[in-house]
Amino acid sequence: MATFDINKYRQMFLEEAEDIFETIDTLLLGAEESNNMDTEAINSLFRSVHTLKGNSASVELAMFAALAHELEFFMDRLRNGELTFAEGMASLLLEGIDTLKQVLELELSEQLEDHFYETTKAVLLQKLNSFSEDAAEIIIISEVYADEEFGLIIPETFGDDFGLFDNHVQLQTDETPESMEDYFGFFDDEIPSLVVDEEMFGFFDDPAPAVINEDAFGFFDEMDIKAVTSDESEGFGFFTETFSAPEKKVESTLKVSKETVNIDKEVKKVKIDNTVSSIRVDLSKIDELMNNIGELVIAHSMLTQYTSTMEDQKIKSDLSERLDLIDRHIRELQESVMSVRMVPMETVFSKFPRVIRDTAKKLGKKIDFRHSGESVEIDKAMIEGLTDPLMHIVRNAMDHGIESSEHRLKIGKSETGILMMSAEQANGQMIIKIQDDGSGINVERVTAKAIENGVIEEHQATQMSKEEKAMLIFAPGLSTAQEVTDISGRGVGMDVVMSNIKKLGGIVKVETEDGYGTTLTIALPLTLAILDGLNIRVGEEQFILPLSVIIESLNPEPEMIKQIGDKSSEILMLRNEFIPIIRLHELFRIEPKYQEFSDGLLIVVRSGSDKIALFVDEFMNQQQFVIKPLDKNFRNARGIGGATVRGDGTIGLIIDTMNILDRTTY
Amino acid sequence: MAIIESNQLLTFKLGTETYGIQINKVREILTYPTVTPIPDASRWVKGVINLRGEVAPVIDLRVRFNINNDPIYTQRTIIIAVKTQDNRMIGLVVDEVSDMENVDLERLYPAPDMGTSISPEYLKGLFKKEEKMIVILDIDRILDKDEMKRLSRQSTEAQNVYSASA
Repeated sequence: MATFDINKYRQMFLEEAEDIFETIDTLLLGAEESNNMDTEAINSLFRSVHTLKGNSASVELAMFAALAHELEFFMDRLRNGELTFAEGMASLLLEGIDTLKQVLELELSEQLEDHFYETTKAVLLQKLNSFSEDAAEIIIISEVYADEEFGLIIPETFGDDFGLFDNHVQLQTDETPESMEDYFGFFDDEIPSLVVDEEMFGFFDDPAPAVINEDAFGFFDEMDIKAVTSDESEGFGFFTETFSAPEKKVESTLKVSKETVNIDKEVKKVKIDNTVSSIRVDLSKIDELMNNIGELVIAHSMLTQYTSTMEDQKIKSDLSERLDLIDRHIRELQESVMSVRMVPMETVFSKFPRVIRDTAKKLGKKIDFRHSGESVEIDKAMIEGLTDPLMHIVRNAMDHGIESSEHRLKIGKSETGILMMSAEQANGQMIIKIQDDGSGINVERVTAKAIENGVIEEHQATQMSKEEKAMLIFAPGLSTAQEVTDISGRGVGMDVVMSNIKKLGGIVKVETEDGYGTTLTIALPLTLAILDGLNIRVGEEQFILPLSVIIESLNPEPEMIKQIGDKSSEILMLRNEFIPIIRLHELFRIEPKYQEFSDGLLIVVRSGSDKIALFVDEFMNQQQFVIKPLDKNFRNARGIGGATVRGDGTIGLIIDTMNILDRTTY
Repeated sequence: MAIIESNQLLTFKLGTETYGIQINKVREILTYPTVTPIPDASRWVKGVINLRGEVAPVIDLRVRFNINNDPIYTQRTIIIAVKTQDNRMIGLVVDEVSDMENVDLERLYPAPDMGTSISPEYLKGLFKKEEKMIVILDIDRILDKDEMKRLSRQSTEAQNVYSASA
């Protein structure tokens, strides 16, 4: 039971950790770009790592916690001003975070070997330490000189634990310092005695209060400079003025230890902050809530129906009034629950800068990542299925699309390649575009490869348009990369991208222009989104038409209708445009109320980049609908995109205009 | 963990024959609600209903297996809502729900090649109780995704031929 419990909490921790890692990545990437880090960022960074440490320890991820602790310690020093932000530090910290992620994964799967862990940790620590230049210098100096002259115990490590603070308190009284930190926290009478030997090298304590203010330990540029300048006779030295208040020193270190003890409290505080702004909820719970509301709606409509059969007019009208009120509340409830599911696209975009930076570095290319449409809302349930394919596309674009800096310069492009990602809701669909300004897809080579691999026949190729040929990049096992890199080129991937997008019910389009880049357009259906729709009626049946696809509706004059050939296809002539007419009742094989265009209504809708006119009997009210997936195995019907639960609890079918045209072209 | 199959059957009638499905597949038994027809679907797909918030297709087993090709639907028509192995909710229209039976699934008679309305590939076997014979349906097989796809394609083609000739 106990192990089960810990796994449950670990899951919670993992979810939280993912978010935190993302925050950290964003902060560090920002720092790397601007080559600066303000106090706020540093604090936020520290808090993030601190939370990771605290929470991981509580779910018994000891190794991870220990490593997080090292990073936290480093950041703490950054926060205290002991260290100043330097070039390369962000990059190193990113590396550190990666190590942390790696350790987390291994520890979770219980594959973390002590040896591996120790080596990784040591390497990381060494790198981290290299940033404490002042300190490093001092160590070297003391190694060279102090060792010979004083026989001092030389510090070998110096980025040590918080856990050491307890030791500090003890150390202060009698022992020689083991590390440089200890040293600064170490205000013993012994030191001045060393200082006395001015002929060689002196250790001069700084004024004690200053040290205390800085949490009792640390290396300061200022101090070091002072050291060099004022001890002219011998060149180097540590300046520490005689420390006169040993009580204070104890207090100061205690203060530090208290701070470490207080970690739990701090973690708690952070958690409370989080709960105020957001909570984590399992998506299935929201679905359940939604279904419950659905049941409520049905119960309500049953009651309404019953009320209508009542004979006492007074009671009837009183009851109806109250029922209307309940109805309104139910609707509001429904809307609130719907909105809970939606998250801004930013959630997706935020995962990219880091990947792009790393990949660009690996490839040695310069890439400028731009994105737009962060605020477009997407169903939370879609994000997971969407991120992987997008990641793949982006990697591909960077590897194969965008040229190397040298090549770009040679052909007169700017050195930095541009990768654009945008999201918009249009045509009742979520449209995501990934655009690069690279070399474009070599369509002929893709086609040749496809023929070679037997994906298509040669005679087929001659009939294919350029777009169709470009689409071959999604065929399984096709890679035209000259060499296989670890980023892409193995030919697995783009077909997976395709199948993943299809799984979400979306479609992918490729546009490519030699030398000018490639644009991949992913159109996702509304399947999971909320839809504003118009109820239309055909015969006895009602359908829902997404509001976003509707251009206009009209009652056509007879002369606006043209017939072509055998009169089987009809065209609407509208302001010099020829729009194919589709009789919805024919498409859906329903007995209509009206056969004549003049009796019914034509609704002009968008279908991809084209327009079509749908002939319906009439249109009714406009409403919001929650889109539910419709089992695809039972239908061939093109033109139906999804389903929704109507107010009375029955199912309504949603028309997919994209599909309708597909059918007519067959 | 071994797969423990439920030994309890829900029995129902399609035409004159008694059929059974394992009770653990059954989610709900309901009377005929408002069914939204799916345009252009196969004849045995009656449409979709709202089953506890899920959009569930309704299949008439009688039409599917040519037991009764022209059934009448009233408010009393019964639907058994089942959940398939891959977690799809599907409603099955039946003539009447009969009873519950305990059976030993290990000791079924194999389905004969002839004599049942439903082809043996869709059956788990036969079960005899006193004078009654219960045909146990392999519901996951009947409602298999690919099977459904294949069938709906067939039926549309047939309909297309029909509409073209008409």
